[in-house]
Amino acid sequence: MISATSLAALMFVTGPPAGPEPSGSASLTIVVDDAGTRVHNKGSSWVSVTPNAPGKTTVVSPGAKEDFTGGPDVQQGPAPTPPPVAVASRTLAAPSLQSPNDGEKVKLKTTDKGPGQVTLTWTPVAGAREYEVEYTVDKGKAISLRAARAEAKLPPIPSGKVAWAVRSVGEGATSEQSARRWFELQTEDIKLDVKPPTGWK
Amino acid sequence: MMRWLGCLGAVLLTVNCTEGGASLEDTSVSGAPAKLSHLSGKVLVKRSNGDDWIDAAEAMDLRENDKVRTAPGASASIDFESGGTVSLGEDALIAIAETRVRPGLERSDLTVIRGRVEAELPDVQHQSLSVTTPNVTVRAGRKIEFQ
Repeated sequence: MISATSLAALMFVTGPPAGPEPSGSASLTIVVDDAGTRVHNKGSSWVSVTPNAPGKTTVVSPGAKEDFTGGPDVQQGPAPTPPPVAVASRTLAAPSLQSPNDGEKVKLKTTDKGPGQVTLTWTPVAGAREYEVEYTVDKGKAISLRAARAEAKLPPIPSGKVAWAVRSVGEGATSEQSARRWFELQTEDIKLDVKPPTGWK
Repeated sequence: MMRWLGCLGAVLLTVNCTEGGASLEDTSVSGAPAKLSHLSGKVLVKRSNGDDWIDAAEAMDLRENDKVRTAPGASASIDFESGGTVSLGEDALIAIAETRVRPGLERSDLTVIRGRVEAELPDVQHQSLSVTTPNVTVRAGRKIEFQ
């Protein structure tokens, strides 16, 4: 049984009863810049746009252009560009961690340039000025570092189980910490491949 | 009225059923979910387990969390095994999303971090494409989800 609210929601996202199943081809342009995301639906089927932070799904009808700007919240329809202060006052979304994968075994080699270092990556968050990375090695003391971009190279650390999480930091706003991930770090010492000299007399 | 109810029923089926066509979940056994093509100009790839950007090559396999970057004036296409194609314009940065679905997180094929991409899906009835950006997730095709 569907409630009237559910029905209204379904009507909203599906638009008018243009057809029971999607058909034809989809063609869309997505532009991502500092202001946010712009979507141009050039195809013949509907396209849905869902905010990464909690919020309503918007349907972009064939031929329509929609701007989704101003931080993690999605604006309905062609929204005016909000002033910068509006971005700052919004709640920042937590980053979505990308790599290393959860539970991944990461092997690092020590070279003549020094010990290998792990690079952590995550999805950038609109409105974030920088990111705060927190990690522990073998459940030891938590260490924090700041990164200006959506990646951070950890300092040389010993082998062990590394847990890490990231939060976004904007103008006067800090996000919740992302879901925590961990990876198994294995550092390999440099192998000296010394062969006896040949041709010496 | 009856036509409208029929359409609504079909919509509910779409909401409740799992995807009937090809999806990236299906491709996890076959390896790379995507492949590079139509390279033009300086296109670089950063493997998920690597620190360095390497030159891209035609038909190069792309795996989850690999990143692709196009320089000014460059372009490239990514062909997904699920059927969609995404063309990257100049000065773009994208990442191939994880193929496995995590609890509480939406599935995605691609993360566009910066730049302009053109996504094409020839058969929306059997294919789908999800593109995540820093603030939204855009879905086209059969996998459109309703909230």
